[in-house]
Amino acid sequence: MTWGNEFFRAEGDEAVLFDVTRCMDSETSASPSVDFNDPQQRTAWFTGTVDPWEEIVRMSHGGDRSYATVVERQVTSAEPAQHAALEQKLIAVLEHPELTGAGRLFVCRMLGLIGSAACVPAVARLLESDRTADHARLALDGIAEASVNAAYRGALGKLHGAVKAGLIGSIAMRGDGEALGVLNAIAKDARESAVVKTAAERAVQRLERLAQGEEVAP
Amino acid sequence: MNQSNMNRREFLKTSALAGAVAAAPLILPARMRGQVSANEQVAVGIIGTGNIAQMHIETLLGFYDVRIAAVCDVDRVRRETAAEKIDAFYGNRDCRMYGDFRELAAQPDLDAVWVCTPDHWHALAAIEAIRNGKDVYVEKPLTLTIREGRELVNAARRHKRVAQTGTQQRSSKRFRDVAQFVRNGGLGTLERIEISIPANNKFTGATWLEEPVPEGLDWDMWLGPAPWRPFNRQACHYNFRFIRDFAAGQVTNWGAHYIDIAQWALDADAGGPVEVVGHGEFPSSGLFNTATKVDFTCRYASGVELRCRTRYDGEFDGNVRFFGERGWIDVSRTNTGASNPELLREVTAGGGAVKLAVSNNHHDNFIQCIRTRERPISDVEIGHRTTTVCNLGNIAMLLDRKLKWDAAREEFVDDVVANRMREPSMRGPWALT
Repeated sequence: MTWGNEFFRAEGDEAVLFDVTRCMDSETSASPSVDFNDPQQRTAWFTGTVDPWEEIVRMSHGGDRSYATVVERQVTSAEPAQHAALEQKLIAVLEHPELTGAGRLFVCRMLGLIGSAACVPAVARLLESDRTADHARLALDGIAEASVNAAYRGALGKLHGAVKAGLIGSIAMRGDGEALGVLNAIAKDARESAVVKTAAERAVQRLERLAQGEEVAP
Repeated sequence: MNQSNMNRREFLKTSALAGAVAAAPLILPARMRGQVSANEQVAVGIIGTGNIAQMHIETLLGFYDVRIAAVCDVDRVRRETAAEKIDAFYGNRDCRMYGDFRELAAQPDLDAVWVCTPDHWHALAAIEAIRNGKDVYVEKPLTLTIREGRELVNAARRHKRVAQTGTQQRSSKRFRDVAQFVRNGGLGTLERIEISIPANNKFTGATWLEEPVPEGLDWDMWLGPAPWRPFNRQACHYNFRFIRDFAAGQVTNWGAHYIDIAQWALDADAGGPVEVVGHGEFPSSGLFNTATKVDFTCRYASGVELRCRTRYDGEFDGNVRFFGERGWIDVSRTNTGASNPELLREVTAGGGAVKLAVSNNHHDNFIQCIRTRERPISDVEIGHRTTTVCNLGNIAMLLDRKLKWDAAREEFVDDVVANRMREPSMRGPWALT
């Protein structure tokens, strides 16, 4: 997978892919790997910059988040017509095998701003783990698509404890009436933890208020 | 002076926070000087015992018809310190302590709860108390997000609870006089409003390190609905104000007070602006990420524009200045000024058909409403609408574009991203249900 550090350099009639990162070392002012007699490497050394979209893969809590800020500003300032392309870039980062937890949190926040049905399959996979489900809801809670409701209902059997309770809260806040049956069952299931049962009871109450018109769905 | 008054005076004199209390006006109503029986006392619990809670505790200890019965904090040292202070005043060891607000909220003997937590906890703690039949006093800003505010208002109405927002400038004659003057057309046609708020110059460097959680602090519970992050002391007590997962910076820290007065003067307590545009500056790295430079303008349906921006004169207060056909009038916590003396005389005279509700003590107003079941001076709907204006400003600055706002539906017009910024996504198990 490529992350934008490549550019095409014209060599005669042929465009040749050149990887800037081969000539760069962000930790030193001059990389010993650069052959300054090679015009191609020399040009790359002078002009290459790191790609914020690659850097966010390696984000850490407390680390320099300026690259993420660049991405965030691209996301928040984009025209609606540009959202789909940015969403695809975010999905690609989300699927990067080396994505850190802080990076995942950031990407899910961004998808929470511009995500659509297109990101649901990729994000829904995160709903299957107690470790990542809260991040997934950051991306999905704001997406008013039936596929999100289905993904949330589907994840109920895979999560536990506080994380499951949080998912139940999201289902209720979305006003997903189709979940009423399964939430009723969870509320009455003696095997469920107290926190999950309480969440289910409150979710059922909310969905019933919605059904009775006592509350307005978002 | 009776013995109780002497005790109270001596207590406040020796308290570490006496200076802070002296800085805030402590106007005690006459009825508090008399004795009341225990069964007439309002039993109060305090959720969150940090900076602002200490002022509330000191003030409430001055009420003879209030008894602080319980405190809750996820920081053991803070809750023990608070309980010791309360017990020292009452001369007993009765103040109960909790680390989980749900336990405090479930106590059947409590009538009311003060929510003094960091902002990201306000809605959840208040709704839990309301669900348990408590009346609530919620520190400003009422909530972190717009959706939380609406949910909190709905909960208060559904459970028929009294809910006061901690925007105490509504209980100040100075601010009431100016708002009433503007409402009565004292400036002629109102043209614009300018609000200044103190600068946020907090910075701890471009990066930060995880630190060991101090003994006695339940960090996971402190984070609550916010996404998990490692502990750093600068992200916790007080400075949480400058991290968007927990608060909204000076826009809500100070703006909530002064925008509230503008909303009052505009008769916009059930509404809000129709448009907002902002150009703020936000740190691109580092621990803090709320605006270091605030500048946004809301336009109301009347055509009046409200501009809120950072002041750089070092003054640690806000102010709100109303401009109209006849000149301007300006009010802050320390001063009322005007473009000419005649306007000031008219403000003091208090003429005009519109008479705003009078409260001269924010705590007492709430306590009285607990007894009468009337809505308090800063009812939760008012607090929600004011906090919404703050949030509109922050969202407009973050998006750096003009946004149209439908105050009746509480949604942006044709802006998906802005609308999603209204909504919280909470870490489990927390939810607004």
